[in-house]
Amino acid sequence: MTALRRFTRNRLAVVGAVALAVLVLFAVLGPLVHPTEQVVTDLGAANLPPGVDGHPLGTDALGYDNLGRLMVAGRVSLLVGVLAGVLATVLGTLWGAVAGYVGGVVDAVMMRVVDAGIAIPAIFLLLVLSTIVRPTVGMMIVVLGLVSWLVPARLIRAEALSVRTRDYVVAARAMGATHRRTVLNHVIPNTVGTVVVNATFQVADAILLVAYISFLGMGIQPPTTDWGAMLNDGINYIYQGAWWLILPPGLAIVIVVCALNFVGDGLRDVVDVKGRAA
Amino acid sequence: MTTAIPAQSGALEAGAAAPAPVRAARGGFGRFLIRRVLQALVVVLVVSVIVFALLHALPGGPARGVLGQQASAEQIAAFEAANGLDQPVVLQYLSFLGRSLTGDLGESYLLNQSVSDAIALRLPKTLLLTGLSLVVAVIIAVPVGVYQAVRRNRAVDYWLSTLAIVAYSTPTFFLGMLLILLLSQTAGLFPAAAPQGNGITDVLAQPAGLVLPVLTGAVPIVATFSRYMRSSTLDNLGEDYVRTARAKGTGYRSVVVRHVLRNSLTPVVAMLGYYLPVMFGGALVVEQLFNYPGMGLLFWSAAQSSDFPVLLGCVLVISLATVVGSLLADVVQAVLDPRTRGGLR
Amino acid sequence: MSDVVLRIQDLAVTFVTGSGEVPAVRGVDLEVRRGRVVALVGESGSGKSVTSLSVLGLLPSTARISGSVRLADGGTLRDVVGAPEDQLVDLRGRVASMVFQEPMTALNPTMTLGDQIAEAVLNHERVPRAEARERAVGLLRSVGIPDPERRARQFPHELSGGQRQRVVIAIALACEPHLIVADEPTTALDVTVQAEILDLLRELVAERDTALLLVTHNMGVVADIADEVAVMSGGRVVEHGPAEQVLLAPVHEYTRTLLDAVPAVPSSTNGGGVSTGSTRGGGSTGGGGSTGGGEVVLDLRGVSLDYRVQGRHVRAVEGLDLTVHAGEMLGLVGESGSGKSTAGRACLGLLTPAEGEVLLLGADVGRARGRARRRLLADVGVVFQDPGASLDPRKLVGESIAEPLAIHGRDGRRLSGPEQRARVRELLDAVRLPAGAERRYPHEFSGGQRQRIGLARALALRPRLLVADEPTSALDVSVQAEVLQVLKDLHAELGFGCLFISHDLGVVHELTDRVAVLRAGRLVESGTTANVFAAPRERYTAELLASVPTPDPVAQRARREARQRLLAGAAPGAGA
Repeated sequence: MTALRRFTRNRLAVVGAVALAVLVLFAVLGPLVHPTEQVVTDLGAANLPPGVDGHPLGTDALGYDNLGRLMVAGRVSLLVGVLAGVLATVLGTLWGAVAGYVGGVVDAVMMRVVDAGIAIPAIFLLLVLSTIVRPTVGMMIVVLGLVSWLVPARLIRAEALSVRTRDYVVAARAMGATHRRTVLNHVIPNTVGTVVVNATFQVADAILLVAYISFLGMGIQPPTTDWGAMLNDGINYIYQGAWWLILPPGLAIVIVVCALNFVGDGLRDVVDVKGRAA
Repeated sequence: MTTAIPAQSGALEAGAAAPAPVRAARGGFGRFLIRRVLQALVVVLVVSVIVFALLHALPGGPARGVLGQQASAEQIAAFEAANGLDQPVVLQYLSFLGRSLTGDLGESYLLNQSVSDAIALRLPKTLLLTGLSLVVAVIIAVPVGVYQAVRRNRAVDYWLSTLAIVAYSTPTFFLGMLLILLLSQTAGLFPAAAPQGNGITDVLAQPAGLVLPVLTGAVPIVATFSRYMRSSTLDNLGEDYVRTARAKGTGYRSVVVRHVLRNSLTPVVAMLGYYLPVMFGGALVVEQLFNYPGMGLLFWSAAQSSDFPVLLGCVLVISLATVVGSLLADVVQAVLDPRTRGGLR
Repeated sequence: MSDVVLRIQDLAVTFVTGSGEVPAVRGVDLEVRRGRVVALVGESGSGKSVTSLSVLGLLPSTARISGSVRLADGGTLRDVVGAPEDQLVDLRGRVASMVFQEPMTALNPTMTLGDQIAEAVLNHERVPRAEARERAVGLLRSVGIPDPERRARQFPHELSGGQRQRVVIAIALACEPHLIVADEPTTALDVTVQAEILDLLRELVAERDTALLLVTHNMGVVADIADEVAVMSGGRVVEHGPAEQVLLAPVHEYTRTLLDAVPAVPSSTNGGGVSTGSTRGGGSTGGGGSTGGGEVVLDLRGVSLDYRVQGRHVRAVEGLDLTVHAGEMLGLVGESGSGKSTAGRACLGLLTPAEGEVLLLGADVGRARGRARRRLLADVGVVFQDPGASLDPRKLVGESIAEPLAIHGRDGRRLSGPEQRARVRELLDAVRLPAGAERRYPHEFSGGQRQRIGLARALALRPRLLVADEPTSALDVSVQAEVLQVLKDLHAELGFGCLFISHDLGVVHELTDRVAVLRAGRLVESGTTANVFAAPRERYTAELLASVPTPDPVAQRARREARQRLLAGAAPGAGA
C-alpha cells in the first residue's frame, strides 16, 4: 500500500490536510481577492460590528477591516510558524542525532544542555529574548527556533539510539562499513519518517508560541500583525461585547493547530507501519 | 498552551521526551538517587550559565540594564567598577553564582524592593495556582485516559481524543477569554478578576475568583495527560501479566484497577516532571489574563518595563523550581516502581 | 464416573482482521483425562496455541469460534464457547488454569509474589487474606522455591526466569484445578532449567492427579513427559495416539518429517540408546570438514570482555582461549549469561577486549582502526539470530546482499553494476532462493528465507570466517533443518572456518567438528564434538548434555534416570 493510501485511511488526517490547504489559501490569496487598507488607520470607523459598511467581519479599534486583517495576520502567523518549526526541527535533529549515535560522554553532555534548556519555560525565555532583541519577523523566527529545538533533540536522540542498536546497523558495522556510510545509508532513511512527523508537530507548536508572544505584547510590532496580536488588541473590548475581534483570530489558530496535529497523526500512521518489517 | 512535548501517543511510545526508564542496577535506590541529584545539579549550573549569558547580552551591557537607558558614561563606569564588571568573565560568573546562592538576586529598579523579596512574595501564589490546576487536571485526566484505553477505537475513544486535540490546540488565553465571556459576562457565575492579596491565605479566602484561572490552567494539562494516560494504559493492557491475571480468574475490571492502573501511572508521573516548565509557562499567561498576583504577572510586568534584574531573577528561580520538581517526580516514580531498588538477590 | 476433564469437539477458530478472515483452527477433537499428560505438538501456524487459549476462553474478540470446548466442573461438563464472561471468570483458575511461555513478563512487576498467588485463591474462595497468603507460601514451597516466606514478599524482578516460571505454576495450582494448560512453558528457558521444570510438572501431575495439556514444538519435551500426543498442522490434528506409538512409529507423513528434522541428540554414556528420529548422517564428525590442520582463521587468546551497565562494568567473558581453523566448524555453546554472544561480537571487532587479543587471520581486530580494520572485516561474514531485524527493511534484498560488495569491492577494485548483480544472483542460487528475490523486500519473505538471505550476504565476499550467532534459534524445526543443510553444503563447498554459536546442543552435535562449552564467561571444556559429547570430562558439560531431551520416549526415560544419578553426585561418564 502506498504512503498516500495509508494516509488517506485516517479520515481526520484528510480533514486536517484540507483545512490547512483552505486556510493557507485564505491567508495567501485572500488579500488579492478582498483587498483592504491595512496600514493607514481610520479611527472614524472603529469597532464596527460585522456587516456594517461592507466589512464582513467588522472593524477593529483602529478602523482596519477585520476580515482583511485576519488574512494579513494569517500570513505572518503561518510564515513564522512554519519557518520557526522547520528551523527547530533541523537544529534539534542534528543535535539529537549526533548525541544518540555517538553516545557515551558526548551524549551525556549534549543532553544535559538540552535538559537545562527545557528547564527554563519557553515563554519566560522568549520574553527575555524579546526584550533584548528587536522583534522583527526575521528575529522572531530565529528566536522561536532557538527556544524550540530542544524537544526534537530529545526525540531524535531516542530514535537514533534505538536505530543504532538494531541488528541491521550492527550488521553494517560488522561488514566494515564506515560510520559515515552507516549513518547515511541506514540510520537516516530509517529515522526520516520520525523527523517529518515531528516537524509537523513543531510547526503546530510554533504557531501557538507566536500567538502567545504576540498576545503578551512582546511579539510582532504594529502595523504588522498576527493572530495573537489581534487577540491582544481585541481583549480590551471583550467587555463591550466585541466578539468579532476575538473569535475569528482565536478560531483560526485553533483550526490550524488542530489540523496540523491531525495531519501529524496521519503521517505517523504512514511512517510506523512501514518502519516495521512486517 | 504550547507544550514542550507533543501530546500524541507516539511520544510516549518512543519514550522520547521522557528520560530513559528509571532503572537502577544493583546498589539500588541510593545509587540512583545520587546520580539523579548530581544530574540535577549539573542542569542547574548550566541554567545559571545561560542566565548569566543573558545578563551580559543585554543591550548596553548589564550596567545599562540596571541603571537604565538614561545613565551617563561616568555612571556606567562607576557602576562597572563598583560591581566588578571590569573583571574577567569567569570571575564575574563565579561572583554571580555566589551571590545567587546566598539569595541576592539584585534590586529591581522599578519596584523599589530586592528581587528576591519580590519573588518570595509572589512565588507561593503561583505555586498554589499551578498546584490546584494540576490536581484538578489529574483527577480528570487519569480516569478519562484509562477509560479511553479500555474502550479503544470505539466512538467514545475517537471523540475524546479529538476533543483532547482541540483543547491542546486552543491557546490558553483564548480559552480564558471564552470562559470569561461565557461564565463571567453572560452567566455572571464567577468573577473575571482573580483574588488579590499578599499571602496565600488572602487568595484562598476568595475561592470564587480562583475558579476560572484554575480551570483555564487545567484544561491544557488534561488534554496532554489524558493522552499520555491512554497510551500508557494501552501499553500495559497488552502486557503478558494482564493475561496471567485473567487466566487465574480475575475479572476484567479488577485487572484494570488492581494491576494495570498502578503500572500505567508510573511513567506518567515521570512525565509530569518534564511537563512542569510548560505548566509554569501556562501559569504566566493565566496570571496575566486574570490579573492574578503571582510570579508570572511579576515577570510579565518586568518584561514590559525592561526591569532586567527581576526578569533574570525570575528565570533563575522558575528554572530551579522545574528542576526540583522533575527530580521529585523521578523519585516518586522510583518509589512506585520496585524494579529500581535492585536486581536479583 | 467419567474422568474426562476436557473435551474439545469440532473446534474451529477464525480471526477476523482488517485484511480478511484468517482461519487458525479448522476442526479439532481432543479429550484429556485426569492424571494424564497430553501434548499438543506443531510448528508455528499450526493452531496449537490458539487451541490452548480457547480452553480458558482467552481468545481476543476478533476470534470467531464454533464447536464446543467443555470443562468438567463438579460432575457436569460446561461449555466455554459462547459462555458469558462472568461464567468464564468463575471457571478460570478454579477448574482449569494456564501457564504461559514467557516467564520474564508473565508477572505483574509491581506486586509481590505472595500477593499474586494469593489473588488466585481469593478470586474463588472466601477466605481471610492472611490465610490466602499462608497458602501462597505453601504453594511456593511445593513448587520448589527455597525460603518461601521471604520470597513471597519479593517482586518478580528479584527472581530468575526459571524461578518465575515456578511461581506461575504455583499460581496455576492455587485452587487445585482439574486441568493445567501449559503453552510452551519451557521454550524460553535454558535446557537445564527446562529439565527441572519438566521434573516439577511430572511430580505435580502424579501427586495431585491433575491433567496437563502441554503445547510445545519440542519433540524431546514430548518424549519426556507426555502420555498422549496430538500432532497439529494447518489447524487440524493430523495424528493422535499414545506417545510411544506416535514418536517411535509415526503414521502420518507430517509427523515423520517433523521427527526427521529434529537434530540428533548426543547419546548418553550409559548406552541409553542411539539417538533416534534422525536420518541425517554426518553426526558427530561434523560437516565433512577437516579437524585441526589448515591455517588458523580465528584466534582468541586470553580474551576478557566487559560491558557497561548504568556506569558499572560487568565482566561477560573471562580469559577465553579459542581457535578456529579453515574448513572446520567450531560450536560455541552455553546457556543464557554464558557470554557466548558477547564473544561472538568481539570476534567481529564490535567490542574491544579488556584483556587479551582477538586475532583474525593473524591480525588483531579488536585494536585495528580505520581502513586496516575494514579490510580485515572483509574476510568475515556474519549471520544473526533474528532474521527480521538483521536486514534493513527499507532496502531491497538484492541491495542488502550486495552491500559487502559495495563496501569493499573485490580484489581491490569496485565492481560494476552488472557484476554486482551477477554475483547477487549467484549467491541467491547458492542459498536456493528463487530468481527475482533480489527485487523484493525482506518483509515479503518467511523467517527461514530471510535467514538464507542473511547467509547469502555473509558469503558475498567469500569470507575465510563465518560467525553464526544462533542463526536458527528463532526458526521452526523443519525450517531450521533446511537452513542448516544449506549451511552445511556451502561450508563443505567453500571451506571457510565457522564459529557457530548456539544453545542448542542437538544442532551443534550435528553440525560442528569441535565444540567449546562456556559457563558464566569461562571456558569449561573444549575438544572434538564427538569426544566432548560422548565422554565429557567436566560435570557441567555432562549435566548440560544429560538435560537435553531426545524424541524417543524409551531412550528419554533412561536419559532421565541417568541425569538424576548425575545430579545426585555420581561421577560423570560413570555407568549405572
